[in-house]
Amino acid sequence: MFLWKYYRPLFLALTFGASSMGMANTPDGKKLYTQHCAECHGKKGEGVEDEYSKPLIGDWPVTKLIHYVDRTMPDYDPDLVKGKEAEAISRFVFKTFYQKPELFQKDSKIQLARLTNRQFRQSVSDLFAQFMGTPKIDEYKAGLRGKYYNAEGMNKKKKMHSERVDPKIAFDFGKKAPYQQMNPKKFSIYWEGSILPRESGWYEFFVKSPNGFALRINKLDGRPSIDEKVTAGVMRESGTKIFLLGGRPYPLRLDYHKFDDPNASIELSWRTPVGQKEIIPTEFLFTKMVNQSYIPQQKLPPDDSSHGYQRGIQVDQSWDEAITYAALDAAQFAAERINQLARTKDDDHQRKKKVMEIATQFVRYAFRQKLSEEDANFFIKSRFNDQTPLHVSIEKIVLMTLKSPRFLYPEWQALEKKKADSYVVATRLALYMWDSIPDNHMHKQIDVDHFRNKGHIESQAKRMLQDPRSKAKFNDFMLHWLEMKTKELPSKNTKRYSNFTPALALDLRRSLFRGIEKAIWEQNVDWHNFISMPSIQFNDRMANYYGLPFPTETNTSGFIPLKSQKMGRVGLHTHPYILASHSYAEESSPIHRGVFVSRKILGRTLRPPKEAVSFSNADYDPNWTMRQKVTALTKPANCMSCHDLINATGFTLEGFDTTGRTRTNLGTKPLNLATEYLDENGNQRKLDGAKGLLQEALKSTRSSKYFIEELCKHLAKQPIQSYSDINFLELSKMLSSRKLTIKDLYLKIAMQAATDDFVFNN
Amino acid sequence: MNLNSINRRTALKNLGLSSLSLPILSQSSSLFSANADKTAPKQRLIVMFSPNGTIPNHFWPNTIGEDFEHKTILKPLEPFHDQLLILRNLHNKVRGDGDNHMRGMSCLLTGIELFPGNVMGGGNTPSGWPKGISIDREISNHLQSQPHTRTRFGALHFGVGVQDTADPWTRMSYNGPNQPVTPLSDPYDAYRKIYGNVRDKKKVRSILDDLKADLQKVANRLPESDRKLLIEHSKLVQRMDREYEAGSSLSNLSAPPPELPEGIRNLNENIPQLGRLQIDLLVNSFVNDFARVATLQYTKSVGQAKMKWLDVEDAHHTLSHEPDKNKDAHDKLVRINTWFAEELAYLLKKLESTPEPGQKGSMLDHTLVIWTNELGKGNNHTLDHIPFVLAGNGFGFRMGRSMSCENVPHNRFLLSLAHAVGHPLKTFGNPKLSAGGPLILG
Repeated sequence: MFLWKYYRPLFLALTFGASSMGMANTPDGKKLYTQHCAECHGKKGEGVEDEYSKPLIGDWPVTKLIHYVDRTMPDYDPDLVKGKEAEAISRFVFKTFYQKPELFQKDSKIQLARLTNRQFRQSVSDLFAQFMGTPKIDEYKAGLRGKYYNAEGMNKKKKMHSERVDPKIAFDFGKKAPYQQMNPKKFSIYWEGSILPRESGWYEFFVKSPNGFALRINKLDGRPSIDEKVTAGVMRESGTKIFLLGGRPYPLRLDYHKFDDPNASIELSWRTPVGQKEIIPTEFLFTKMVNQSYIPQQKLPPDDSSHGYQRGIQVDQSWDEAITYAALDAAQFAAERINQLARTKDDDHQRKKKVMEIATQFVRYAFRQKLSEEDANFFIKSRFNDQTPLHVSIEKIVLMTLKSPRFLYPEWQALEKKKADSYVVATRLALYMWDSIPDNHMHKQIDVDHFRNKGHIESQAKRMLQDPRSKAKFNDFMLHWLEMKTKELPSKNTKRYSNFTPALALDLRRSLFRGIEKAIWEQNVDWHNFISMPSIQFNDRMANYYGLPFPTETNTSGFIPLKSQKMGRVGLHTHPYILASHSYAEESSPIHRGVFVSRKILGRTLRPPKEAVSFSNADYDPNWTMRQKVTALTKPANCMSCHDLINATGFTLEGFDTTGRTRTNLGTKPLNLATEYLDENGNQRKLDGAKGLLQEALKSTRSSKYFIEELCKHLAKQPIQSYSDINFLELSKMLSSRKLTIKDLYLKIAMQAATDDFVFNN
Repeated sequence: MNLNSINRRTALKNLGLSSLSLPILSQSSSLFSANADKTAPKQRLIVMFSPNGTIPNHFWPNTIGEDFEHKTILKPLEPFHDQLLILRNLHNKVRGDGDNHMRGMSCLLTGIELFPGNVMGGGNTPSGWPKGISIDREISNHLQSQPHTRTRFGALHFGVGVQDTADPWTRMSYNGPNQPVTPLSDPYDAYRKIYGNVRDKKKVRSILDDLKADLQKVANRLPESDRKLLIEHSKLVQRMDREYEAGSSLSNLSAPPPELPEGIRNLNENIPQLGRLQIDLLVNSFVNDFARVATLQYTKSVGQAKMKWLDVEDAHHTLSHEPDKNKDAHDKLVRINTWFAEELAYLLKKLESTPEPGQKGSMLDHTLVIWTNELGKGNNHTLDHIPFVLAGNGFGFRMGRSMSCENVPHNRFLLSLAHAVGHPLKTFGNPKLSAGGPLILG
């Protein structure tokens, strides 16, 4: 499609000769703008509420802008402004503010913001971990360790028969014993280990069995999470709900016994935040049993996401109450365990001293800096006296600390101090890299003044990069960037796509996030390899559905890498999970895919449509391809202002069906996958299918710049203009020219943002 | 007596009552059902449980009738003599799966067999949960089904030193087959359940002034342009302070809840104090009419509490298995059971000294308290002669005496309880064991 229409004004100008340009009667763009445009777009392009409320900014080339203004503006009378006048206005707009979003940023400095929900949970968990020990899995042996016992009488552990590692808990023993030599009527199995989920959110754990069982998730004392030891031999399934932070391990214990029941079987499943139930895959189970963590279970109202990323820029009653209940729960938890936390006993005559010490440390970690004498008195010393039992003092201190603005508003330190000091840098590094508080290593370094020169700080940041919390936060960013947070598992018409089961969809999701995690954190890929996704994780089920040779090696996760080429993949955005998530139940959706790729991969600007027009297959000739239908629907100029971009990108992916399988024809018609694409600089390009799209993404600085900006917003949760040290353009050039890996980028942004107004001591 | 052939008339004859008393009984039961309205006298039931059997010759009065004597264990209850009914010769005749402790506990209030299952006891066959509902839940459901006896909770289940595990030794109340009811063993949790998070709100309020001061301090140290969010936050703190101060549902209560002392952990040595806190909460919930049925469970069947406050260092269940000739063990067990009687006396005293709201008499006049046990005696595990000490006039029974139940199954006693609240069941638990209908206790 030759976009003649964009070039017509230029052509006309040339035809009429140079003399007609630059004459005194060249229309005054500014004047015309004020006359015809300002009432909806604002005098300075800032927008007008109830009219066009957003600033007049974008990434169109000026030729497209001229064309659009000519054809469609002002919207109450599109014929009012045409030809030269349209051009003059467009050039004025383009030069003055269209390409300068920074003019409209109300906030361009670091704002005081409260902890987002994720930051609150991570911070509280890490606060307690300082005293309970940070659970770590250093030996990654997958599965759960099972001890098999013969039972007799009241002794469930009469004699251990065997010990082994079980990759999953899904057994049907029928009337037999797990081992031939065991007593088939009376036996017990005790499984223990840890579970390490990838995503944060609400989890449900289920045990299904006709026998007796008790399950403990992150709970080594007190009542089990599920207590179903007693049974009459009838099959039942019990569940328990718990909030877990992703990227952290939790102890898991499952006690199981058969005692004269007619049959024996057991299944351990979970339902992850994405909402689908499955037997817990081996990938998330480890034989080492870690100690438990404190994870706040309180439901928190959603954070403000109006700026495109989660921010703590608003407080209201529901938040205040939720935080208060969370603080009360934490206070009770601490009060019940002071001996454990302070490593003391009831009869220890140093008990009070030890308890006061941990209280001091607790407040110091929470407030992210050493306390002044005055503050130490106010927050700690004054809460202890001879009439108050120690645990009541601890309760008050925890309550006061977690509700304090010094904990809840992490940037307060920086804003209070005229000059950023080591504590500010440490606070920001921990907040940006981990969504959490500085750990005791960092406090120690600051105590010995080893946190002021660039080398020291950088080596701390590098250490922090290796900590699982960095990976966890990046995984969270991926969910956000790929728009997977609120999306359900893709599901298709069961008649036409009967093999596209929820189990397959879950596998695809795992394949995607596993692949990304491995690429970034193990292989340390650069932008090029990240976007082009040369390798894809696949398993039996995927091989079966996508017609691939079955995996020949095995490992505990069931997934092994495959050259993406062999599966016809051309880039991260062609991973079947992404394609399937951006499709209808029966058909592909070039519109959804086009919007996703344009915004997220190419970093282009797309506003929501002015009019919502629904797409109905039935409106079109059934012999038409999706491309033909969408082209017809989006033909009007109003639609084309965005659909030129959406269609140009979306149609290139028509070589993949709704479940991401490759295709070259639609029925008897060969697919046309070539499109005309107008880049942000006004250059017209031909994209030959998905390959051309990928090349465009790799070449474009806008693509990498958008990624960096989004990453920065996610890390810092502040307007990116606040950080004068960060040169986004330079970083994107480094990224595009393969001089920086994604992991390095993470570190670099965090370092630059955290040390933005800090004066290094050299 | 052949249990199967006994009928109501015969039983009455044997109990010394003529059939003349029958019409009176049926009339009185209609009094409690059809014509009752909200201002009618309330009926309440409390079941108190202590484990491991009693010491029969220091417990059971020898005399049947009004002049029964108070032996050592029942001595603390002497002040309540006129309101006591000691039921002798009443047996737990439920057989089937499970050992005596399990059946003693889980068939005590259900009167029905346990499912065959996977829990192995000290003998006999393994079992699961009971096959039916317990009488406390049955009565509570009945009262809840009628608007004039309905209360906020119906029934509340309190525990003292109950372990965090669910099995037929730790549960005595059941909502139905396979449906154990977990007692609230933590008085702080019980308080929260009954009164909401009043204590929590108090805790929060106690730090709000300091929080306000700190917010002010922090806000003042920031440049003015950054204070906006903190100012909003301060307003929220003010709001919470006002809201939490305006008190709560507590101001509408007939009786404010007891002040719980802080931090009494669920430890063996705190059992006496925990018991008293639970009793206080129980009585208070009755005064506020939040429930009409309550259970108070001390530890569990085979409970191994060490009553150090009685100078007993040995574990309860272990002691209970000592042979009769072990005088030391014998004495200790008597002391232990006497202590339980003292706790019962504390409960009764509280009820007696609280006037019944809107009626004549005390709360004890409108309540029936049952003190019972899972075994008749610890060392022989007998399910015969289960201790049943009744106190209070709430169910219209004839109190102030000891009575022989002529060796009938205790199901018939459970039936009496149901009938007394206007719920004329024909059987309860195992139907065969209910033959003969309710015992006439009035």
